[in-house]
Amino acid sequence: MVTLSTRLPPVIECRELVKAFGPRRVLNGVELVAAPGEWVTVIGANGAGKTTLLRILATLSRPTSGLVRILGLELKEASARIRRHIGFLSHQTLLYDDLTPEQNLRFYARMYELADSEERIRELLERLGLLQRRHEPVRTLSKGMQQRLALARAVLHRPAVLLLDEPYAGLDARSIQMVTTLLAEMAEQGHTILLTTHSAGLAPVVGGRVAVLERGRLHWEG
Amino acid sequence: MPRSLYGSAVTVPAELGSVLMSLALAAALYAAVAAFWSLRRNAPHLFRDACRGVYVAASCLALAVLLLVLAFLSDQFQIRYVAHHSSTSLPTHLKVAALWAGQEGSLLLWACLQSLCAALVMARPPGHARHLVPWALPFLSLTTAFFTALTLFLSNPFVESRVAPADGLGLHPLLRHPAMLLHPPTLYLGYIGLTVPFALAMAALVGGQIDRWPAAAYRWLLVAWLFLGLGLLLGARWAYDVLGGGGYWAWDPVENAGLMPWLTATALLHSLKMQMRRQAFRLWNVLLAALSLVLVLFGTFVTRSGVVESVHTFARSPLGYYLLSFVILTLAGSGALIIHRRKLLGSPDSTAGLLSRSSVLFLSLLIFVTVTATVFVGSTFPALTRALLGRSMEVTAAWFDRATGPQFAALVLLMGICPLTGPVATTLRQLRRRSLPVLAGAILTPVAGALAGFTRTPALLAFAVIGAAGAATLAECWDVLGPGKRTVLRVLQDPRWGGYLVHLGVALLASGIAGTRMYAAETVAVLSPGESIRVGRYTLVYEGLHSKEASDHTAEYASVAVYRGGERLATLSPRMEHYSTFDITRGVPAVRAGVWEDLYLVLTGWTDGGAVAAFKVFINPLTRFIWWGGMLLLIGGVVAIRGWGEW
Repeated sequence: MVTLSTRLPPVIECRELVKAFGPRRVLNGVELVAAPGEWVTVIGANGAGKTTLLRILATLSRPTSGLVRILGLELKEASARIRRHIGFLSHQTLLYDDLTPEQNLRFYARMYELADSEERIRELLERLGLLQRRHEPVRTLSKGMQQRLALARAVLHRPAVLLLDEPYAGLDARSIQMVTTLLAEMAEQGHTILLTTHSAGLAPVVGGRVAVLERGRLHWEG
Repeated sequence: MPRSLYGSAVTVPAELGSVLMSLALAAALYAAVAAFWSLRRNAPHLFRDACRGVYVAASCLALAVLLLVLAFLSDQFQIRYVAHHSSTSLPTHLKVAALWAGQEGSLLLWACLQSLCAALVMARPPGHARHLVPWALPFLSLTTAFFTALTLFLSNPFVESRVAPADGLGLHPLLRHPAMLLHPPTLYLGYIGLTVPFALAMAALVGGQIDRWPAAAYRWLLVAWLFLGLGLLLGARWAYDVLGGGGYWAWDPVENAGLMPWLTATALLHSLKMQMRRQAFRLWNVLLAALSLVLVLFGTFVTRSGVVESVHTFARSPLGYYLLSFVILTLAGSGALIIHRRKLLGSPDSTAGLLSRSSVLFLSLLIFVTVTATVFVGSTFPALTRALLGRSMEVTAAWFDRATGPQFAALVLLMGICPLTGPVATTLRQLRRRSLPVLAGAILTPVAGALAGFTRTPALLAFAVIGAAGAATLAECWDVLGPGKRTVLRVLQDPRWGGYLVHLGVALLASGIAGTRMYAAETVAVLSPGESIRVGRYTLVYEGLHSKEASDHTAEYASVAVYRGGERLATLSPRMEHYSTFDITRGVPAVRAGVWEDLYLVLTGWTDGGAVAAFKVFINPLTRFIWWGGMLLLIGGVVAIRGWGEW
C-alpha cells in the first residue's frame, strides 16, 4: 500500500496541455499532476473538455501541444506500453449486449491475460451488486447495472491509472456509494484515479482533490 | 553561531572578503594603467610597479577564495552564499566544491584564476616574446579587474544574512557527482587560459612583431585546450551518469558554449604551428585567438545571463548586460586592431600546391570555423527568434547532428589525408607510399564494423573515414617509432608523439560518437513484478521496488535482473531520489557498461507500491570508445605540452 505523498514522482503529469479542434481550443494550458494513490475529481459543464482530457490521457487522442506523461513516460513515445496499465471508462460501455456480465468480464480478462480471472470476476460482480444477474444477457440489465458492469470491466486488470468519464451517470444513491467505496479502496492501494463529472453536487461524495475545468483550464479547489 | 572547525570555534570575518576583493580590483586597475603608461613613456619602473599590482591582485583574490573555503569548512551560515550551498552534514570535499556551486563563488574563483594566470605570465614571461608582455599586461589586468568588479558589486559571495540559519540548504543534488566536482574549475582554467594567446596576439599586433607570439602562446594554448577538453569530457560523463536521458551530449546551449572555443582553439593549435614553421596563416591565427576569447566571453554571458534555458544555467541576473558589453568591447577592439594592422598579416608562404599540407590545413581551418558557426547559430536561434519574432523557435538535437555530423566527418577525413601530403607539395611517389596504410584502414575498419553488426551505409562510411584517419596516424607513429629508428625514450620526448596520441584519441572518440548516434536504441517498459521485456540481446525482469532513507533524501530502488541467453548477467538498480530541502526528485540511472555497448536503465515512475513500474531502457553502442578516446586525447595533450614552445 502506498500512502499519498508529494515526494513520489507523479503518475499523471500534464504541462501546458492544449487540444484544439480547428480554431477552437478545448483545452488551453491544462496543468495537472497526480501522485500514486491520488484521486482527482474534475468537474465541468457539458462541453468543457472533460472527455477530451481523458481521451488524451487514455492515449486515444493526441494533444495539439504540451507535455503529457504517465508514469514518467511521455505519451507520444510510450502509448502502446502504457495502455495496458490504464483502465478507461468512457461514455460507451464497450460491453457485448448478447453476452452475460460474466462472459463479458471473462473475455476482457483473457485479453489482459489475468492470472486470477475467476476470483477477480466474482469479486467485482459481488462488490458492484451484479452477482445475481451474472448469467443474464447484458441487454436485459438496467442502465445503472450496465454502468456498474462497465466500471468492473475498466478496473478488472487492476490498472495503475484509472480514467473514469462520468462513472456516476445513471446510478442511484446506493450504487454511487458502492462505486465510491470500490474506488476509495483502489486509491488506498496506490491506484491513481482521475474522474470527471458534470455534477458539482457529487464532488463532496466522491472525495479526492477537486478541480473545475472551465474555459479549457483547470482551476484547483481548496 | 558558526560551528567549530577542526575542534576550535572560529568566525570568518565576511567583511574581510569584500575588502580583499576591493584591494584586488584597485591593484588590477593600477597594473593596467601603469603598464600602459610604462609603454607610452618608456618607463621601465612603471612596468615593475604594474607587475607588483598584478601580484597584489592575485594574492588578494587567492586570499578571498581561501577565506570563502574556510567559511564553507567551518559552516559559517551567516554568510548567505555558504547557507545556500552547504550544510553541516555535507562531506568535506563537497564543502570545498560548493565554492563554485553558485554564481557568486564561481565568479570569485574565475577572477582569482584569471589573476593567477596574469601573475604567472608576469613571473615567467615567454622567452620568445618578453617584449610582448608589457602590451599583454593591460588586457590581462583589465580582464581580472572586470571579473573582480562583477563579483564585488553584483555577485558578492560574502554578503551576510541578518539572522544566521542553524543549518544550510546543502549542495544541489545534481552537483553531487565526482565529474561535477572538477567540471567547472577545469572549464574555467580552459577559458582563462585562452586569454593569454589572445593578449599575446593583440600585443604582437600593437608591437608590430607578428611572428614571435605563436611560440610564446603555443603552450598556454595547449594547456587551455587541455583543460577545456577535460571540462567537456567531465561534463559529458556527468550528463551520462546523472541526467538519465541515456545520452552524453544534448547540444544544450551551455554545453555548446564550452565546445565552440574548444573547436576554435583546436584550429588555432594547428595553424599556430604553421606560422611557427613557415610564417603562414598569420591572419587566421590572430582571428582564431580573438574568436576563441570572444566565444569564451559569449559562453559566460549565455551561462550567467539566463538568456537561454538550460540545465546548466545560473539564475537570471543583471550580469548579462555587463558580460555582453565586455563581449562587444573585446570583439570591436580586437576587430579594429586587426583591421588597422592588416598589412602585417599577409603570409609569405603562397607557394603551397593544391595537394599540400598547407592546403589541407587551410581546408580544415575553414571547416572548424563553419562547424563553430553552425553550433553558434543553433545555440542562439531560440533566443534570436524570441527577440525578433516574439516566440522562441527551438533547434533540436537532431538538427545539430545533421548539420554538424558531415562537417566533423570531413575533419576526420582531412586528419587522414593530411599525413599523405608533403609540406608544400605532394609527389605521386610520396602519395603511393603513404596511401597503402590509409586505404587498408579505410577498408578493414568498416569490414570489422560490419562483422560487429554495424551494417548501415552511413555507419560503414563513417568507419571508413575513421579507419583511414586512424591508420594514417598509426603510419606516422611507425615512421617515428619504427625498428632501429629511435629509442622509446627519445620518441616519448618527441612533441609529435602527443599529436599522434591526440589524433588516435579523436579516431576512437569518433567511433564512439558514430556508434551512439547511429545505433543507440531506446524503448520503454511498464512492468509488474515478475514480468519481463526483451531489449536487444537482453531480457530484463522486474523484481520489485524498495525504499531507502538517507540523511538528506529518500530513494526508491527498482530491482531489475538482466539475462542474456538464459544466463543472469547482473541486477540493475535504477533509483529515484527525492530531496525535500530542494523539492527535487531525480532519477539515477543504472548502467551495465560493456566494451561494445552499455545497457542503460532509468526508473521513470511507479504506482501501487511498485506493483507497476515504468522504465526507459537504452542500448548505447560503443559508449566506452568515447571515454577511452577522450582520455587518450587528453593524454596526448599532456605529452604534447612537454615538448612545445615556452612558457
